[in-house]
Amino acid sequence: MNRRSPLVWAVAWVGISFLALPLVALVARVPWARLAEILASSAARSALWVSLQVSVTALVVSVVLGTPLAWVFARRDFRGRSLLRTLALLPMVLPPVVAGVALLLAFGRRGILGQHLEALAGVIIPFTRTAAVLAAGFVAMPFFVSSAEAGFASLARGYEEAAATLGVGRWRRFRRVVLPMVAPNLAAGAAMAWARALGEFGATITFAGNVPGVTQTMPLAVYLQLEQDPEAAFVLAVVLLAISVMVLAGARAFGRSR
Amino acid sequence: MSLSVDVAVRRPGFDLEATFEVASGQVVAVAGPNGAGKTTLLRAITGLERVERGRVVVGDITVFDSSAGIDLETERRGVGMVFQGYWLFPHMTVAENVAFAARGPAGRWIEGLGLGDLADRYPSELSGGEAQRAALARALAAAPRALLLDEPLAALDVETRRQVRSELARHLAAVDVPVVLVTHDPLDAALLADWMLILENGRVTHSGTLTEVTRRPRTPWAARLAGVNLYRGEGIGKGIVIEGVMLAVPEPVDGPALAAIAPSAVALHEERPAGSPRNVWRGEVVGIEPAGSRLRVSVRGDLDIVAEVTTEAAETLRLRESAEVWVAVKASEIETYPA
Repeated sequence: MNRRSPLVWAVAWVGISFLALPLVALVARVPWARLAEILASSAARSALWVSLQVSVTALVVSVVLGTPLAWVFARRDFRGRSLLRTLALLPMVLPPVVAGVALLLAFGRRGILGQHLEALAGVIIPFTRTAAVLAAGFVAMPFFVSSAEAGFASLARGYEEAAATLGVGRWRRFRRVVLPMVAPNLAAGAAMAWARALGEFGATITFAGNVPGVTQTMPLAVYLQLEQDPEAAFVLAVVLLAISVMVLAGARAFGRSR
Repeated sequence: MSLSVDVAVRRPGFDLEATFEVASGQVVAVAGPNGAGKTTLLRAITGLERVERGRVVVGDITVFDSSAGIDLETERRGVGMVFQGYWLFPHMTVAENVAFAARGPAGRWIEGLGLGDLADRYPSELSGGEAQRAALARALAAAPRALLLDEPLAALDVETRRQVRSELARHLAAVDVPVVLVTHDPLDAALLADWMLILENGRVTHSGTLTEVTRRPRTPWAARLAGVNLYRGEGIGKGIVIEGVMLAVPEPVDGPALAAIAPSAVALHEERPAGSPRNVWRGEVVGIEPAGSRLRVSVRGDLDIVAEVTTEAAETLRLRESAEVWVAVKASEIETYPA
């Protein structure tokens, strides 16, 4: 059964071309001569800065809230666990614009939580930097939770049990035994979550809008510049592409080193 | 310091009840068939297994008492355990594993268990015997007030086993806290422990010194462990009736009784032996297997029995499968005791 099958090869070629061609086209159209000038422009710098802040904050939120959640999903058995798990992972497949609408209805000025936030504390979330962080965090956190949960679930309990019989308390067990052993899963999950937060578009534009310097992230800037200065859009796009390549390569290198 | 255990564990389709005491420096071996609840018993003492009812006292601290509502967390019980799979932390070296657990300087334990040369190795770079020693060092470094070992030698191959067993015996002799070790190997029990507990189907079926347990086994499993023939019968004075066969015994026995016969006390003959032995019956050889320098011969007859004979005797008797033989057991060789 080792014979070459021409048909399979042909279809495979079509497949890889379909995936590679757009990327090649993008790289080919980047005005390398204007690269430095465009990246130095205040619009590009501002979008880069907003994206960095928003995506890193969203990542921190995902890790801080997602680690205990993943632990509970992996280690505790309770009624409704599978329903809650489905809910927690749903944003991974939810159309981002739906996520944006849902965030508006929760945290918007008339949202079920948002109206009280405004009435009681005068806090208005939509179309602020916070909104951009919430949008990115909402779509990114499930990627972290899913990877962290897999890590916790695959770690044999014997290590923690052995540590407990050595008189080591809960927190030290987690920090010195569990964390180092699931670090690769957490790192991979964080990389995926960060990449997803960085690329967030639909939920952000719906819930946080497109305010330059506040909520205008790189993807929004790319979309906007396509109308005004296509070459600037290509440059910003290729920056995002480069980051994606690095995240994927990094995750692979990490996976191999295990 | 001592360890006092009285626990009842209930799980769907399985329950365990055991009560025993271990003095400081004493080593108790818990033996029993697979699924008897040996590991569950150890886990119940450490608090890793939920105990329904009972009381566990370690030294002068009650770590579990269902009637008083006491249930200390595993890490606060002071009960060390060496697991069958060791569970050495793979991201720490041997020295780090020991130091992680150590109360006080770890060097003493690393040197004490001869791990000096292995201190900087990771668990994946250790042989089975070395890993076992590292796990023991780590458990001892935590200064437990009782030590449990779950099948400490089961993961080792036969050669390593012999060497590690004597090492372990040396180390355990130096431990001055109560020690409970689970094993299914009578040799482990004989060389490592001074008291034995047979656990079958979630119940302690026998406990005593190794000699007591092996000379007078109470269950078929214990008899296999001890390598003796065990019969259950009815004592009628100078004899015992087993499956309709009357055996003469040395001591008068009445009522339900057990009779243990060592295979080496069973003689096989080609012809019906004349003279002294009063317990004689005819049988058919159904199996022959080597046991050390001798042969264990299974004979089916009025009473099924296993005899142990020298190879010379086997040749003289021309023993082979389905050969007819006469079985003779001297009354004085039969150990009888109340069932």
